[in-house]
Amino acid sequence: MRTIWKLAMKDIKVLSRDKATVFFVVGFPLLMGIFFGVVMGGPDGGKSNAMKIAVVDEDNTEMSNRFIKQLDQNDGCEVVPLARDEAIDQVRKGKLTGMIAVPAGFGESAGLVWQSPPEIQVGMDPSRQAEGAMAQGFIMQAMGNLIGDRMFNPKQNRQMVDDLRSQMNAAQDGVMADENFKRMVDSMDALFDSINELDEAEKENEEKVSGEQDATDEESSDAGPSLQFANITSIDVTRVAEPGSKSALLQKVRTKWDLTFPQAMVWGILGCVASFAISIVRERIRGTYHRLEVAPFSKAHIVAGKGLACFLTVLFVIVMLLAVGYFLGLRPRNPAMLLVASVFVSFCFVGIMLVISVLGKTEEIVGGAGWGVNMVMAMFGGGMVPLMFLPKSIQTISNLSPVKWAVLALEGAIWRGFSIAEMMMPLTILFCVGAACMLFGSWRLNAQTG
Amino acid sequence: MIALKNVRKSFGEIQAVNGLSFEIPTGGTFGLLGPNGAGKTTTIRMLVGALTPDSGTLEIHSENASSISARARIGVAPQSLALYESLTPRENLKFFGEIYGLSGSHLKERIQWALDFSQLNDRANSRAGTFSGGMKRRLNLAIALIHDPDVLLLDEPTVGVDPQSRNHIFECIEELKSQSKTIIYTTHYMEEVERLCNQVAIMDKGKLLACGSPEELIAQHATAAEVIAHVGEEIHSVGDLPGTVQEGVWRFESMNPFVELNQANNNGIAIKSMEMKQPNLESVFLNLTGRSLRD
Repeated sequence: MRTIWKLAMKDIKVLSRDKATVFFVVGFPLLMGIFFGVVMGGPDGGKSNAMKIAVVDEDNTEMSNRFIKQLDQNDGCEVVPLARDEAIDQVRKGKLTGMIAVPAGFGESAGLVWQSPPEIQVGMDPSRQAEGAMAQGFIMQAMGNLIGDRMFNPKQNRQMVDDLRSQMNAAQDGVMADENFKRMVDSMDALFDSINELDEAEKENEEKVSGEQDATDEESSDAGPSLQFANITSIDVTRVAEPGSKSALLQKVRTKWDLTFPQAMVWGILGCVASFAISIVRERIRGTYHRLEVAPFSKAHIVAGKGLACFLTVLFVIVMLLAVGYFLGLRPRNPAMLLVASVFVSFCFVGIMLVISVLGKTEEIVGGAGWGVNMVMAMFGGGMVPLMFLPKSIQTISNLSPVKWAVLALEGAIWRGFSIAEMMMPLTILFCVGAACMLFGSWRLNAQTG
Repeated sequence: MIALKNVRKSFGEIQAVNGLSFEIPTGGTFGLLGPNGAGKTTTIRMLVGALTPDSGTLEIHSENASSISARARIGVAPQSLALYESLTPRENLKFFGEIYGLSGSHLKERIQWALDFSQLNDRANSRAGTFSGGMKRRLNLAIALIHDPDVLLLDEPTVGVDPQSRNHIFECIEELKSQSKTIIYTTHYMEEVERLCNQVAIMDKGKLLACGSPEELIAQHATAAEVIAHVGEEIHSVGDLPGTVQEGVWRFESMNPFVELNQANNNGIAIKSMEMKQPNLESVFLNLTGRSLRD
């Protein structure tokens, strides 16, 4: 075992110093996984389906900020802060659905129902009328929340009443001097005092229940409950996909990396296969294989050393890509099953590596044959286009490709949520292919080297 | 002692080795000569256990040559440079030392010895791929010696090597001879065999043609000496004496040339200058194997 380990470590060291090998084993799969993930887009856990609207804040007050924040908190709306000219340009070019401009002076009257409503300017893409109506709905919802903020804000209300009384005292005629107006302000004052008393009573009650109050949260102390004109609840109308269908499968996919990283792993594995197959031929041609044959151990040790080196490198590639995928948001559903799948995948492709190594007697032949075999396996096995997107006829042929079973085993553990029973088929096939290839490859290598 | 008894090996219809038998005493340097396709490489591969003979026996110190214990006592420096170019000499020596069972301080001592022996200390940590041909040959030899083998097999160790490196390799082999190692040496350069080998075997077409010391082989299979004598342009014939005269140069071959030279002198033919080529191992080799080209 020590000899096999030494042979394996030597092979890994030799290959790690070959820049081309490192690129095809590590760099290329990373590029594939990230590139196709970015190109694919799709579910990324963010607001990818929200309507993008430019927002121009020319008021820059607390109320305008609250208004914009209310818009952004809406799941159907993604706010893009821009200057006016740029916002108009983006909408005209079709890059944004529309724009909302908050002019200067918005904050003075926003949320005050007894004053004239503040101006809000809206510019929507003419080809997206329905979304324009949605945008108006978002605006009304946000304004309603502002009204609630105003009404249940004791400080603001006190300030407003004091301002009105000052104006009334100074006024000699007009609405401000009218007795009816004075009575209205008195009523508002009394209403605000009642609202304030009610709010304080609710807070005292909450303190008794929770035992704490967040004194640093100004909004929770200054703003009261939001004002809603209706209580809207949801009805579940999500699509029901036929079990086993592409739609059903796609529902299980949580992020784009779920699809692209198993493929990337396969490309790393194929890189290992080609590199180690070529290294066997290289050793035979350059004479180091002859030295190993003469050494005091059997040829089986030599083959085992190569196999172990390839196995460990394949495992390393899977783990490395998994680490990068994890950083990007990939979360395997079953890590233990992923480990088992990785071991079986590595075993299978070590066998395939041995077969490729005996397809020729020169590096050029083995290299060409190796990548040819790899390409065909990848094409039909889901290494280029995800299995579920392949036509049915190709999916049938893909059963002959070890790449298909490798991708299936990895996906089964990462996002498909395979049970142990469902995992048995790909693992069994991977094991059988690996064992058969190892036996054939070892026998042929022995025959070729005498 | 290394002993081959009636060894045969064929590849399909080609009989590469056909009833080969000879012995190599311990502590000597044994030259194995033969034209291309004679069966030398096949014989060597069987000796080191890389090939199994169809019949016959090969023994190293009374053990089957293919056994693990016998292989542990053999060091091989193949004709093709058998080293890892992306590793340094130190890493190459460490790896091969470890697979021969060396470890710890003993391994370190052997690595240092091998680096000193091959004079590669200055480049011990540079990748072998950056070395000249001569340096790679020295490293190739050093790797064969890392585990201090009893038997050393050198397959054309000076091919493609500059004169300085070649001379260094000769000195290394002479030092190994003084350590009583058994060395099997194959080469196409006769002067190397004459300088280094105690015993020589000449093979062709899978069979042993001759075996013995260089002097014995020359004595047993010697061809006539070749004489080129300048006699002057006025001489056009030497009468009954052998050879031909052209433009004042008398050329002849003789097993005992001084008899003819003396006779010529008695006949009044003055020898102004003379060049004599004595039979050597190359002439023995060509005499035994023929002068036609081999594929």
